[in-house]
Amino acid sequence: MRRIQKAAALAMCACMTASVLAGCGGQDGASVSPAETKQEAKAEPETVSEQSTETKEDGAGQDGGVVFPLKEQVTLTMWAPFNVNAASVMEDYNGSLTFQEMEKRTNVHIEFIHPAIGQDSEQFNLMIASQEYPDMIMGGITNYKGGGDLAVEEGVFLQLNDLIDQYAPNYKAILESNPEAKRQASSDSGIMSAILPMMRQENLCWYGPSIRKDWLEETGLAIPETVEEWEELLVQMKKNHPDSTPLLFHTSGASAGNSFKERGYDFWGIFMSAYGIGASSGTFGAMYNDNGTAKYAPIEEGFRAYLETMNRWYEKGLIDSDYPARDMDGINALLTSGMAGAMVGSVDIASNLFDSQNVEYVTAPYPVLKKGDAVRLRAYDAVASPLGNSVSVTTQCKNPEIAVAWLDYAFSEEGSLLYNFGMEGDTYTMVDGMPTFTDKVLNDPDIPGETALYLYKMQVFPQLRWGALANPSTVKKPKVLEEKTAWTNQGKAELTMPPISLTAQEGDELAKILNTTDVYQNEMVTKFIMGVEPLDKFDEYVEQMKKMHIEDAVAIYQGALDRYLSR
Amino acid sequence: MKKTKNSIARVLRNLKRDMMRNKYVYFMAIPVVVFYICFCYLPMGGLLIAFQDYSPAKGIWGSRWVGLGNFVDFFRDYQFPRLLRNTLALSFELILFGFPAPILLALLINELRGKHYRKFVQTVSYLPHFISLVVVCGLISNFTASTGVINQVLSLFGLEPKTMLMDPGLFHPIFILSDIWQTAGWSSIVYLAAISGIDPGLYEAAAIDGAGRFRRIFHITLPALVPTITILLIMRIGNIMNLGYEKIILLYNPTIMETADIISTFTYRRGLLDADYGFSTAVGMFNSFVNFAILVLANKLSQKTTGESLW
Repeated sequence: MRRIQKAAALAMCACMTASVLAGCGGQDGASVSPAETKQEAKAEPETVSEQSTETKEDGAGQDGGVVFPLKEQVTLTMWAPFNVNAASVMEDYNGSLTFQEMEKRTNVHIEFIHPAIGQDSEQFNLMIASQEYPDMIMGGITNYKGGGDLAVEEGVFLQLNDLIDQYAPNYKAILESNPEAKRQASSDSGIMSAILPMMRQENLCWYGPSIRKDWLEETGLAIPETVEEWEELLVQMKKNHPDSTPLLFHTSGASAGNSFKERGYDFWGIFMSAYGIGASSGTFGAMYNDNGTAKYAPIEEGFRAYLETMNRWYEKGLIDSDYPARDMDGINALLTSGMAGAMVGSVDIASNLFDSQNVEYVTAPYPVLKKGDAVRLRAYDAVASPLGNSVSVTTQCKNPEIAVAWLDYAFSEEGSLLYNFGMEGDTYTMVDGMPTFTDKVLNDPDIPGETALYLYKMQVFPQLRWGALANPSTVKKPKVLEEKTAWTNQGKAELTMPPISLTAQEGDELAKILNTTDVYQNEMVTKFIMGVEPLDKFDEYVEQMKKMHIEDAVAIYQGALDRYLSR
Repeated sequence: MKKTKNSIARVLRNLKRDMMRNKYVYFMAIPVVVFYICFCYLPMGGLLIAFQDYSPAKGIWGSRWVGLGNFVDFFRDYQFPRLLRNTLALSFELILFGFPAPILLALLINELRGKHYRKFVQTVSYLPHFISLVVVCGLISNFTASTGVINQVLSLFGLEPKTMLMDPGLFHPIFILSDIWQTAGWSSIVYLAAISGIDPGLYEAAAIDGAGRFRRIFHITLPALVPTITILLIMRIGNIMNLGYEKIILLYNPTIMETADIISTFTYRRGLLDADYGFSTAVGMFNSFVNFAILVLANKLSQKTTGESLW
């Protein structure tokens, strides 16, 4: 009998261990969850109001807000995915200058709970299953199965509308002054389940193709503009350097499971968008918005043409022959050992990788099919983005008003400077009214740009974002700034799916469909590209996808898109 | 009716008397019983979520009941046939090739004469057991890469180098060979212990009668090992559906899913990554049922043929 239990599903074990521990702690294991959770959820609003009145009496100003620094130190816990570049210089985010200063200014100590790097979603799901939540959760609305609305409905996250109204004056002011921000900050049902990062101005496009200059000059060709010219260039490169991989798709910047390695198209679908179909970022899979119509790229006719190109490039050895088994370290190694001619990915990373081997590079415009075609998709930040860096407050938080006020600080003038640039006089100085990084940030050979983002400032928290202007790697190199501007001016991101919101039920249904189709689709796309399945079977594949209800998923998006556009 | 009532009363009476007589024995058993109830039986209540559209926030009583819906979804899933096929195929291959390996190794080590050399061989063969699985998988993918050691050796014989972990046909051999390398040495300890318990007089007598080395192995060592082998085999069969999913997760990629994906990796993806707890519990439960059925069958079979059994 013991064996049966051993054999039981993993996920179950997790839930069960939790309930058993509770069981041995003197409660009846099986019945611990239902009644009590409900009670807790019901009791919560009372506690909240109690707490808030207390603080009002304690150390609050006349308007009922929270005044920093607090008279007595308060500790809040926060679950937050840990960035791999930050991990090289600190134990947790308290190692960041920004949070050390935040603690001084607010007298709030944040205790960070970091999941093991790369296991964010597993550990998030385990935490939710354990029913013990920290005070705040980063990326909760993207990780919670069914989305933020469902998390509020199920009593995991607090609905923040009233708290924001009362304790987040800066955030509220941004929503009121920018209608687009307001539209994106809450769901269709008007629920705000997280505080989102907000762009101060439109961000520059940071993602695209870059090419090794010396290899390009060897071929005597011009910087490629069309897909055809790209192929010509890559073929020439392969001829000059037979052992090399002419084109690499870098995985950085893609959310887990959304890179070329898994999907067969890169995060922003650089080459795919030339065929008039869009790859949208992260949570939306490859759902895109074609003038108000939701479409799913991998079942569109343009995708067949795209796959034919990729398959041809694969057979000719123009793209990595081992791409499904190559991880990010492997890709970096190829680039830094001089075995690659071009890469698609963040230009900040490209410039660092090429610079590290003293190789010059040039960026190419987003490829199109015919010269003069418009670029309809490029990397782009919505005003309220990225959603993965949002922070939600849980129902188990004892001081939600302090949490919200603490989060709000990053949207104030001085808070925004602290998060984006660090400390005045130390990491930045004001030059003509513009914050400018000091040498300490820009020219320390031991601290590369990607690490400085976390050590001297805080890149991934909800804040009023200065975008490229606050990125040391970009600021340091005027060339990168120019390249980003060129991409930004080249085209619009009109195919992107805006940050629509799904109802709890829609989210649930969509997850069910995509869980199945994703596996099948990724497998088939990989086979098409590698030539294991001939592309004659594309119709069969689309048929099968339809049998798996992909069209229902598109319909769900269509509904959500309609609601968003009429918001 | 009356008869059964009487017999129940009698059983209760007997039990009471037995408890009074052996109260200290019963007392000593309490911690063990509590352990099993707490950690093995109570958690089984969690199997209820296999019949639900489970949401952790709502709990077991708050979640929606879907009856056998999760099971039906699983059986209808296009991946179901290959998951079952891969799980069974990999398990049987592991038993077929992996199970005899430590027995052979133990017999070989037993025949070694030099004491120091023997200890050396034993230690070397245990070592892989202590290497972390993640490191082992890193080694495997490095060795089998198109630029790896194995391909470099093969290219000397004119074979085209290729990334072996991207060839669906090669996954099973890679998985099983590396498993043998990892576990054979460690598992041979049990057999070596059993061998050292054999009466040396038997060997001496056989030697005097003129039996050579192979004769002695076949007629003394192996027969003495049969009980150990049978019990270990049944236990192994009892674990047949519980393949090491960690190793597969670390090795697979979309190109070899059709031969590498097994039920437990599927459970992991749907349960821990997609947070579809009800569904993955249903899948896990199905896995356990098949496992249990195979175990009972194997035990019966063993009882009939060798007389050895678990219960």
